[in-house]
Amino acid sequence: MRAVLLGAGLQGIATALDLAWSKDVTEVLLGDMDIKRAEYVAELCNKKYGKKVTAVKCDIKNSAALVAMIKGYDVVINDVNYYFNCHVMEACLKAQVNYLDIGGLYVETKKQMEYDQQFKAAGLLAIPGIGGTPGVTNVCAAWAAERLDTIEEINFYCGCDDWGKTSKAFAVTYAIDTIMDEFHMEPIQFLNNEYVKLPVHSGASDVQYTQPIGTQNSYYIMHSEIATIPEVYKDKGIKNCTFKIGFTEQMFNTLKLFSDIGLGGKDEIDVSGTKVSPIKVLKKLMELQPEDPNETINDCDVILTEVKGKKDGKQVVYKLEAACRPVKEWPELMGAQVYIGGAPSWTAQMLGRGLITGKGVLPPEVCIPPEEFFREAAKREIYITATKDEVLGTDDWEAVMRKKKVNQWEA
Amino acid sequence: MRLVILGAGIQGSIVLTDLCDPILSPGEKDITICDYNFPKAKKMADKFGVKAAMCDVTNHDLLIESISGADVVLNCVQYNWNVEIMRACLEVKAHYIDLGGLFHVTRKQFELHDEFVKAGLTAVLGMGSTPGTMNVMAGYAASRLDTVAEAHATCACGDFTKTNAVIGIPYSLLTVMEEHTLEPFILKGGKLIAVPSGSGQEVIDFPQPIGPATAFYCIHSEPAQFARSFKDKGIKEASFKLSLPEEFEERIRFLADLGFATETRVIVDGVAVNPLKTLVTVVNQYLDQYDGSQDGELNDCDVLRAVVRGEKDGVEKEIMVESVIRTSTKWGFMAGALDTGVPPSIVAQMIYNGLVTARGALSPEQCIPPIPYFKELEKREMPVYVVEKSPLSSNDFTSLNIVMNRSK
Repeated sequence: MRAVLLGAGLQGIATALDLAWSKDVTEVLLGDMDIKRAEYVAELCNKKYGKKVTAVKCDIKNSAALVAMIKGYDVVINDVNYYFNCHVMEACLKAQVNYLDIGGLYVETKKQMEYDQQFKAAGLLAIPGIGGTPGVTNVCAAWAAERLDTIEEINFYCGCDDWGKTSKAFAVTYAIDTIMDEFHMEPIQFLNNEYVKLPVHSGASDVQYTQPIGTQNSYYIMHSEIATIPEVYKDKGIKNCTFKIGFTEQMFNTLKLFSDIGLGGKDEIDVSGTKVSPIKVLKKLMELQPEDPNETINDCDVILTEVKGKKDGKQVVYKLEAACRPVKEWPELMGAQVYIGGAPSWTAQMLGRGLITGKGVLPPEVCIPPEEFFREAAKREIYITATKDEVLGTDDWEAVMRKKKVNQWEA
Repeated sequence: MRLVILGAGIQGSIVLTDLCDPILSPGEKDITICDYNFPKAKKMADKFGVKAAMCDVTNHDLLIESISGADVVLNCVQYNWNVEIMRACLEVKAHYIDLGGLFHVTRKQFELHDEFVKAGLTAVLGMGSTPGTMNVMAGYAASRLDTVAEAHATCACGDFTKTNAVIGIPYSLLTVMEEHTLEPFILKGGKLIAVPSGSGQEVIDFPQPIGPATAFYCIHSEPAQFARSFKDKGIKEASFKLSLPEEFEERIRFLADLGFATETRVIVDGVAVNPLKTLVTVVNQYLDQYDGSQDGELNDCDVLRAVVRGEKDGVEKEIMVESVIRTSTKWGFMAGALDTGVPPSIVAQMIYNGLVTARGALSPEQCIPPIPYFKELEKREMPVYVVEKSPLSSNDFTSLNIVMNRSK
């Protein structure tokens, strides 16, 4: 299979390594604005897995050049900032290439779904949001949904921590612009059959994640899962769909500092006559932090998908969970990169092998066969566990939940 | 008494407030307050019924015109123009006071010493809180000793104002960031040497309401001043350490580590951008928009501590002089601003009234009579006291240091 990868950033490097590692992939064209970064990533891959990856300078804003560049390839994996998703999809339509990306932060995802007919007519497939979350989480929801007759709610949770040691003042596991967007935007959640916009950081509660995260305070954020899951499972009766994220207190406070004083802002300000967007200066300074040769990588994202519904009239809750950690094959990657950047690669390979056959713009929960997908994940040390909760002897969940409270009779 | 204040910022306005207080600052005065931003100067001047003038201190002719006829010029603008303003004072034969030169500029200013002596004029360099009161305190301690081995200045800032603001700036953010990145100088073994910024961290037990707080070396004029002033008494060690409120310190240190303290431009989307100026712009915008209506009353504290070690009559002594300053109940100024803005007013009047007789470019410890000066501070809610430590079982602290420094 021949793939184009756009973006050699935090996730691009992981996608590139995964593609190069795979025997199915024969050629990868890696485009980035920053050719030096693209060359660095290509060389890293080629040194490990033989010459497969070619780096090119690519300004995706130039449509004609983008179309010419991707023409003739089997698939485009878009790992650049999500602001450009629709733009890249249009180029894929023109060049007749399948398309995958790693998320559109709800707003873009909604826009992307409108290209469904065009992709279908062209006999092409676009999978929006097939990274870690959205992505792996959507497939987890699909696995549980297959086992249920009706669905009441699907709730997603992501807890993050990092025990790595570095001399850098500040490091993140995915794009700082996206993190700040998630931090600022009023989160849209699907509650009681309606999409509602909630206050930022609302819904905060202690969520129990698997070890090594444990309990972490998590709150609502804008996320792509909510753009597709309620539509896909409408027929099964879904009433609620939410997404909560948890950070360490230290990370949350740092993000809050950036957000409050305005360093996370996108709008341009006037600095001694020069117009700049503060977030871009922050991002640049983060990039300019000197590499620490003694840096150790040891992070964890726990993704938890909870699906509540009925099977044969009895209420069931499925919990699918994975602790995404650094892996042996790619010691240079954080655990977060392995699953976020890896998922579009192994999905593209499933597409290449004919395991994904749908046409149109289809979210992961619609077009990806879960079992096969989880087998690929397991090859990358991403192990998804599933638990099924049901109450024996009765179906009174409310009574059961009451017993878990210290003051059980309190309203 | 004809006085010209340069700069109508926070410090200039406190200087003016103090000079115009009929009880604290009696006597006829002819005062002019100048600023590059004339309306700003005019607003202050009108409040107190004094004169205002537009003055760009970088324009020599305009500067001469503004200060000619003055008995004392009080320089309250950013320290970069200290040398030029001193030269202008020599031309118009005026005494000179400023608030400090952040080490490097202060050292250049000392080069004008002989010219000030020749002109029969006094230039008091660094006459705010620290440098300033701190130096007078060290000078007092040194006056009680025959020899001086060490002189250390420490300043602790506390802020107890109940606020929701994520970052409150006690003084110029530019200076705060410089203090976190420029290499500090200390006097060690008789030589001024550079040490890494943020080094020398130690927890110091300050008096209430601050209590134990972490202090670190930071660039300041005092080590250079003490080295010069106490040279004849044999000084070998001098330093300046600063302690800021913990949370504030953490945030500033973090932003500095991340690169926001540098003025070296970075390229963002093909445009060269100054990170420090970006931060200052963003923070000022934040503070402008910040709604403080839910905040409590201003409530801050500065502690100034000078510790001088040496000998008196062959017996080793450690003399600590300290001052605790809170938000002004009289004027409402924050402690950190009050203690910096009031000293130039006191000293200008002391010069005019013949209480400062030494001539030349001098540090406060060389020319300000301590006790009369401290009495003026007390009138402005800034009490000063001394603690003297002497050995009783021998003539020095050698045995004490051995037992105290043994590991736990």
